[in-house]
Amino acid sequence: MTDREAIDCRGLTKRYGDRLAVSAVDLTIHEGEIFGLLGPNGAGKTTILKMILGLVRPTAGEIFVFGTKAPCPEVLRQAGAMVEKPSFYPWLTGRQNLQVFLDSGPPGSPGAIDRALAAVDMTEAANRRTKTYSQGMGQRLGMAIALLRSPRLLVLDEPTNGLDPEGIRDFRQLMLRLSGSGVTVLLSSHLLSEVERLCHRVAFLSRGRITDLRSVGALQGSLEEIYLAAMDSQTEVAR
Amino acid sequence: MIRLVRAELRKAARPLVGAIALGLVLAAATFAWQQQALANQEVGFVNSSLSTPEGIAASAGQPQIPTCDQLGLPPGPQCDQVIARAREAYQAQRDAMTHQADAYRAAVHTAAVQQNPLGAGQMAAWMFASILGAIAVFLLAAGQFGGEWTGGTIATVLTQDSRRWRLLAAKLISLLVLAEGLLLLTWAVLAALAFLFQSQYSMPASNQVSAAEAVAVAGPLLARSLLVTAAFCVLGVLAAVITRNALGTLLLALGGLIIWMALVLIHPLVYVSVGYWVSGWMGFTNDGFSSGQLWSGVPSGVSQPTELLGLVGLVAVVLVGVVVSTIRFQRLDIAA
Repeated sequence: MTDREAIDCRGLTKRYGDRLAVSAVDLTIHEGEIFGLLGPNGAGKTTILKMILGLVRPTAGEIFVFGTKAPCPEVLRQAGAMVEKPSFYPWLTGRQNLQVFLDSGPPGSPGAIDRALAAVDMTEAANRRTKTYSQGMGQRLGMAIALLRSPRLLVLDEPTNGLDPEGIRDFRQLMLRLSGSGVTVLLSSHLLSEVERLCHRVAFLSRGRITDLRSVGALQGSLEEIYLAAMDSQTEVAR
Repeated sequence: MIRLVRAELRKAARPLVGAIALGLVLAAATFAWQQQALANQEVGFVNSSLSTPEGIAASAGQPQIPTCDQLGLPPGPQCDQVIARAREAYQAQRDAMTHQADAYRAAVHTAAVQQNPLGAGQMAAWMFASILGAIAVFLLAAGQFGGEWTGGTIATVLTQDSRRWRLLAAKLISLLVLAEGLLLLTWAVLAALAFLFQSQYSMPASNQVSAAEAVAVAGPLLARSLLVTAAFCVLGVLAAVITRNALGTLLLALGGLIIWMALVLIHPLVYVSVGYWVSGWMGFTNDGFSSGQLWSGVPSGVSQPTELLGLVGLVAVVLVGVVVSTIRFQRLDIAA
């Protein structure tokens, strides 16, 4: 992990009609860092990820990725993403899906598909149509899509959903390896243990606001308490 | 851009596209068969003296114009009016017979062109510039673009490249390429059927057309159908970015087009009807047998649409549709 900023969000706000999904979020993530966004459903985690990726337009605020104002093609050239439940073209094989997504953006390096498949242990199943995939296999293929262009930044939304324990362990090892090689990872999750074992820092979100932000090392077992407090806060508002 | 279009075309390797192709081929074969059967019935009449102006005059007989005495009316304006009406009725009857003969002649000529593999493309061009072509293109647009939202793949596609106009352009180009591919397939099937028609519904030598004549008939129609298909592609893409799902794309595009076509029935609005424009651009008339009849229904008193009006209308559809789609797509949030 370095001191250089990978992501810098300033006053990030998103409003859908009357509903405030994200409210004046300031967030800085460093290169090589694994950063976790924690919070209950509807807290604004996915919206923040989507704004960073240019899928959702911020109502206010600015986002800089590696010093470049997002959204722009240069930012996505350096990013890999898996947002929400990974979706594919079910009539195509895993490999064909990867080829379609690779051709949908800047060219990858030679052998990019094979490397991405190998990284998520999907080489053997690559020639099967994705409609035959289990949820866990779909999650792995979604991860392979994110890795296609050897990104400097990975943005992952609930990346371990549907993975079996072995898959979760493989995923954790992959993230740590990538982080070690300088890749920045921003992930959202419900799984406290996953965040605790993987992330360098974590932000707690409730009602579109960051309620707490600290390094995992400084949590000293209070992760669950903070998370539950965020949940309570959101539930009270819902009532 | 070529890679992006290639990616879009890869996505088309799906059962939906096969089903559309099958439907189009069956429809084209059915139309062509009907056309041959009709022409086969009428070729004798068309080649006889009965279809000539003299023959029609002989069939219509002498005009039965009564005198004022026979009408029991005194000579004067009232009698003149009745006689004028009788003359008009006689003339209308002769015009109808001439019109019918022309229609049969056109049908036989069309069938003759259809019996030449090179000319068989005319039926394919007609179909793709008709409501059948529109349905095919809208189904493609629903699957290829609206389906990106329904299947949830749109977010993954847009995280590969943030320049949405490029994706929109690739969608449009790939839709046009797919539609033209289907047109060529339809033409190929009709060309194969042409040999069958030649043997089953053989025509007298005087009615047969040369390869050069067949190309001269089909070529311009095929070229013109390209603009109509492009307009359908733009409408399909526009419907996709408005509804953001596969079924909505199909329903909005098709419903909108049918309503737009129906304007042809409202006299002052006929000139802004897409049906009127397509008829003008493709040279469709209400005569004879053609898939162009799917656009017919111009009310009496309205002049046949001109080629220029058709061109201007369809180009406007393409340009306005592209601009609106781009603005809309650019501003869309890809929410859950």
